[in-house]
Amino acid sequence: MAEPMLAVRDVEAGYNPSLPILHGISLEVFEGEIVTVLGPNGAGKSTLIKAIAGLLSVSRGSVTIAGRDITGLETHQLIRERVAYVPQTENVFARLSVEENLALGALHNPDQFTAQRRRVLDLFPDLERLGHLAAGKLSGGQRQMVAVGRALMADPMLLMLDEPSAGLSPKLAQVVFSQLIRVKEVGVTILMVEQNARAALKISDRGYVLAEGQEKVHGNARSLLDNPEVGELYLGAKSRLARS
Amino acid sequence: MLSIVDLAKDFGGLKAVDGVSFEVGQGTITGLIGPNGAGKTTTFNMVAGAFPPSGGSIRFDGTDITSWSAHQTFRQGLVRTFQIPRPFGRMTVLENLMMVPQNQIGERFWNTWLRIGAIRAEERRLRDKAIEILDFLGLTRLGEEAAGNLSGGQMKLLELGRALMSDPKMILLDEPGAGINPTLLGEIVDRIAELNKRGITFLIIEHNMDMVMTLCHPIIVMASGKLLMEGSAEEVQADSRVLEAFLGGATDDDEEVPVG
Amino acid sequence: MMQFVADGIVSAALIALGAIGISMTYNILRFANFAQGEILTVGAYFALLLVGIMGAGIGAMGPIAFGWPLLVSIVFAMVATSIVVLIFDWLLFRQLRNRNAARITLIMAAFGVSLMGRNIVTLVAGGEPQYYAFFIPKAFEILPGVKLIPDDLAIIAISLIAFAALFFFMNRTSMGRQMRAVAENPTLARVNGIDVRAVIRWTWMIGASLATVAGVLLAHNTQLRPEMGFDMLLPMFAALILGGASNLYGTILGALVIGLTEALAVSFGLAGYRAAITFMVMLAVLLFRPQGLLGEKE
Repeated sequence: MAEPMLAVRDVEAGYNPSLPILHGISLEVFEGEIVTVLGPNGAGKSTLIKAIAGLLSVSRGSVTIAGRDITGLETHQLIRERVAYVPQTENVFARLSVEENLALGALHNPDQFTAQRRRVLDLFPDLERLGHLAAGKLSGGQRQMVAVGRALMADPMLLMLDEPSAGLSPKLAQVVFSQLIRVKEVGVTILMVEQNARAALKISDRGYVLAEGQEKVHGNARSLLDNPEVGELYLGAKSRLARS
Repeated sequence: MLSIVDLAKDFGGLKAVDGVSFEVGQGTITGLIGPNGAGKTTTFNMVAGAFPPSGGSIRFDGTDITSWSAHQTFRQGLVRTFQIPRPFGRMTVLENLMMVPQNQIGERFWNTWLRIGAIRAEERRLRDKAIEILDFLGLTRLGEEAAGNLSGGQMKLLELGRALMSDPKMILLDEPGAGINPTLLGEIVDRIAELNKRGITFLIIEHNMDMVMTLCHPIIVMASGKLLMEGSAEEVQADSRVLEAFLGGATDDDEEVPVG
Repeated sequence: MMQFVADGIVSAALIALGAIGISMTYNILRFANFAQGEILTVGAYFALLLVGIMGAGIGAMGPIAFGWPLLVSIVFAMVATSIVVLIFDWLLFRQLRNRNAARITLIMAAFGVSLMGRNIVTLVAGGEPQYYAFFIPKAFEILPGVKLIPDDLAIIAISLIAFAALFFFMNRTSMGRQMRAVAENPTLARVNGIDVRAVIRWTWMIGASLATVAGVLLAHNTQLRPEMGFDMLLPMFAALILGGASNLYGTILGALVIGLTEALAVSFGLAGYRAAITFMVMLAVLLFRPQGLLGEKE
């Protein structure tokens, strides 16, 4: 079995070192995959991605990219490791234009700017005509394209997304997911967190289900949806029904 | 006890709540669950008087409270707690509790000069009541502690205490289990059950399913601003539509769904 | 009557140069830098040091009272002041930032630096007013009733060049974009690979450099005193707030309003009431537009 592109091993992390939210999570993402992290509210999905992105301190465990240890790296150093991250909210520079957002994305690879811009515009043709508008004035779906486009400008190996379909209508969410398939096709590995489990698993290769800060179930995407354990994680175990 | 008919809330084109009707029976501990964006928090806030509905009506204990604000519903015996408790950090726990009842004699300027005796008696009464509530919550030794020094779980219990000071008929609990460790969670569940035995009705919004399934009956499920179903814990867990809703099942609405 | 316009514009140019630094520290470092006045003062005194060595009036250019020595001194003063400012950030503000200090703590620290700055300047350079040059240029009429000295035109010209350079920098260079990104969303900036610490250094350097230019030109126009920058603090903050704190264009526009207001007050013989009138104008604008003229609503 090949080396995973991203390996998270036994990570314990949280907003406060004395109060960890993640209690020893391990997961792997292999090159070329789309992996989705699911789970009920409060499971720690967002916390996991933020921990990988260096926005939270990891108190235990390790995170490696293509074998290189990136645990504890500062957030702004991740781009050099070719890991790009799209937060759930406030994921574009609202007062800057679309073109400026994309230009910032290529901060550390300016010589590739033209080529990467071409690639992003091929994936999101709408962005071309929106070029000079302030990103904050765009609709939710358009903003999401700018957010992902900005991340792709850095030519990442791994793209991490926090709830890419959040706040979007089901139709727009579908558009986002089909765009992500095309991102995978141009060779970017994707790790995402999603509430919209069904739709996300449809485009994923594998999935992990988190609950209460731990990884509970994982496996092939198709099989997860039919797995009764997943239902229990979302709606509580059927056996615990003692009502006084 | 609480009756909601065709409740709706429009946020400039976003239909956060789209014609929801349900009842909370007297003496029940009713759960309100649903995925993010289902509209349950918005519904809850309208009942609690945080903002008025765009349509529909709310009746509490026979009275129409549709456009009432929080301090008005408070007087009727309907109180709410907050998901992130914000007590008066620099005042003691007891002071936080004693502040709750409205129209205390001591609030009027001249009374502090002219009715000292009555005020002292009232303070004693309030203090005794507050201590009783603290005993019930297991927080007795924290009475003189600054409320800001309490742990998250203790603050949640204090929130419950604050609600109890007004002798409510019904308490709206906003995610009582959020951010609480399992041990304390068990205590909170026990307290709620005990209070329910003593006659207080509860409506609880909660994401912690174990807590909801153990404690609540019936459970109301919302999704996409509408009522999905209502039933016992077994019925909710068995209904495939409920799991679908949580897993992001398809709805055919084309509008933007607000998050949260 | 129109004299006040001319005087006001000169005044506005200096206020704007100083206020831009406050705007940048406010938007990027997120605190109100009450030590900005002292940066002006220190800048002016550094130039005095160099001018003293070189001689200000020597090589005076045409009708202008200063010559290339002053210009060279400005450049050196900008560098020296920037270094001092960076040292203070490293010693003080960065430590507070790392400890998650409250905004009010940073502001209080700035007050402290301000007090310290004024007193050190007094200690080192003396409290007596000083001058770069003693040559008083001849005023000429550019329009009927409007007299200017050539130096005023030089001040306006230098300021315009500085503003143009600033805007080119902010809009067309990578670091300028990075600074705007950090001002808007520091977390996303880090996610995007921006080293916020480098951006902070540039912020201090640019703010200090512009303030140095303001300080030198102000000193040349009037005199050098330890309180010279501190006296500018109120007009600078008023310009920032009136124009809309989130916007550099707003700061310049605000400076124009403040400069003209002050000059107008002086022209009516109300020089002593300058500050009061300035604030009344600021309050009046804020009543109708609380976010400032070009600011954004929260």
